[in-house]
Amino acid sequence: MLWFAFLRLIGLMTTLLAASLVIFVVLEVIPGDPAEVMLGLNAQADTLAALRAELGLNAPVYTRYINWVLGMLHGDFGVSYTYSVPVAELIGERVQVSLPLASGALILSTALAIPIGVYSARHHGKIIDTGIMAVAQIGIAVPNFWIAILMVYVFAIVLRILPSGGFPGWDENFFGSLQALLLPVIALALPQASILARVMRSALLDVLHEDYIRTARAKGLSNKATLWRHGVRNALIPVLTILGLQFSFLIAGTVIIENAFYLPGLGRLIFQGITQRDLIVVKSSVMLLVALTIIVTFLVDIAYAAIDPRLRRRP
Amino acid sequence: MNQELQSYPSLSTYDEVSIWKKALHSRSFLVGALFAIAILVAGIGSIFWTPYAIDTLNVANRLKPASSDYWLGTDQYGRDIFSMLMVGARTSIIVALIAVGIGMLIGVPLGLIGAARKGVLEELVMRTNDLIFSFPALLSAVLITSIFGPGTINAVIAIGIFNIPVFARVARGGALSLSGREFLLAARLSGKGSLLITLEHVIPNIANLLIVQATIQLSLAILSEAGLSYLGLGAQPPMASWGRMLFEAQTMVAFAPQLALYPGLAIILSVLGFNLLGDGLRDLLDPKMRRRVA
Repeated sequence: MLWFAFLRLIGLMTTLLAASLVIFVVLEVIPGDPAEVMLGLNAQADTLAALRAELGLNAPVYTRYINWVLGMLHGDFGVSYTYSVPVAELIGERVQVSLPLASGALILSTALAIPIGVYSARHHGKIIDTGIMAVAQIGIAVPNFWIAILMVYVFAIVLRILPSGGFPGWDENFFGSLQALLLPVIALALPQASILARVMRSALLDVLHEDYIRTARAKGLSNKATLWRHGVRNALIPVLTILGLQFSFLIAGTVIIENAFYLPGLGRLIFQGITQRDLIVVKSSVMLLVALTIIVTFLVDIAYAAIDPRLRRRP
Repeated sequence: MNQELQSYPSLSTYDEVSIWKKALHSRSFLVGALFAIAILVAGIGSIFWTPYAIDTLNVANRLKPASSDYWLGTDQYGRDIFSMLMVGARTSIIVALIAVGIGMLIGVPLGLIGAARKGVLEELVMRTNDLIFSFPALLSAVLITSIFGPGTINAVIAIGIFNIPVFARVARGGALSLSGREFLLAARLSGKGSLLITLEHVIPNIANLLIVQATIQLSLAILSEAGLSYLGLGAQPPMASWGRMLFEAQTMVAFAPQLALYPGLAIILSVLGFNLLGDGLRDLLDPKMRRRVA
């Protein structure tokens, strides 16, 4: 197990390094002169030269790359060109919105999907099961930003009980901040929950055919205890895998939903970075999100191997 | 040998008549095919004819309710919504088809190489896969857009890149499940090289898997395209796209909520259609993989 974890850790490092190289090449090498991209075509020669000096663009490419990576390892993500604030500070602020949003959606979708999936599997073949799965099938096809727009219409415009967007800040208005995140969390969670409920249901149906379920029943365990102790626990393994795979969709979803609700999170930061051509902000925040995805995949792999020893053989 | 074919049916060797017969009784397949065809007809039809031109703004005609002139009404710029939906279908289909095509053309050979050659090359292919997989289509689009500016081509490339590892995985998995089977050994004994065996025996035998996956990926690509153009990273005006229509409708939702309704329904219909089609095809083509999903 340790050896497996060690091998995966090396893999993790290589992937992170390769990802940083890709981002660096796309943003700093392909455009030729990043300063020109940031200032636009009509920039004055001396402004360009000043920005080049400020960004350290006169140094050779490999020095710039190494400095960027070393800086990030020390928590130095560069200084935003438009805000003139360290990017690390901006990210720190924005994470206070994105993290509760993403984790709230993750918790809500799991909390909805597991009971619904189990219920559906228990009533396999009945009308209620068919009905639930039809709803889930449609739920997968619904774009989260469409749910966002419809919910804003119903709850903010017609009923006027929730804000249509924006974020007051945790310190200023804690309850208001929770309210501001309610609709975004729901919009993000519903399509995810549909996918997870389907996976939960089919995983449980697979498990319920196993011999150990019959054994558990034969030794006198009640139907309910068998279902939860032996059925659901084993069925959770594929659900965990899908959760890990879904993580990158969750991040993409967060970016979209933050824009739909005008939430000042990481996704909006990246977006403003693009419109203001602030490559430094884009570079570091994209790297952060990609790193997050890579690390979560790594953790899921490790958790998976810890649960199921058969998977340790082929890293 | 007959049993081999039974467990690994491929399009050419399997009893085609019975597949079509079964198709007529598969609810997912029929409903999915119906939706998919409707979207295709609307998209292709929009090349030749739309009720109104969508690139002329006529503010005098803005926000007309649905009528016999404007079947679904007009938007805040006076454009006919039905015509916009038709052109949007075209955008969705073109982006999705090309993106999934890119994913297949690059991903499948990568996956097959990964399966055929063990060792360093396989490791390299799989690690590259993991690397690409950690760039969600949205982040790739963000990177491309921040350098080259927004546009349909960016959306195609970004979604296409994200499709590569998906197909590499499916192709590799399919090819590995065939390895060591008698008909491959027989081909090897008859003196065929790896390339020829892959082309003549492996690909036909994993074609079903790939077709099913491609259908599912089409629905994901339509959803991604909608998301990207909603954010302004995809199709640019005057080209219509469903995601962009929703973005424009959002600012008007207090006055004209119906504008947000139709593009959303169009997205749901097409994504649902290709998903159902994929489920149906999976049941029809690969009985071993039949899932218990209603």
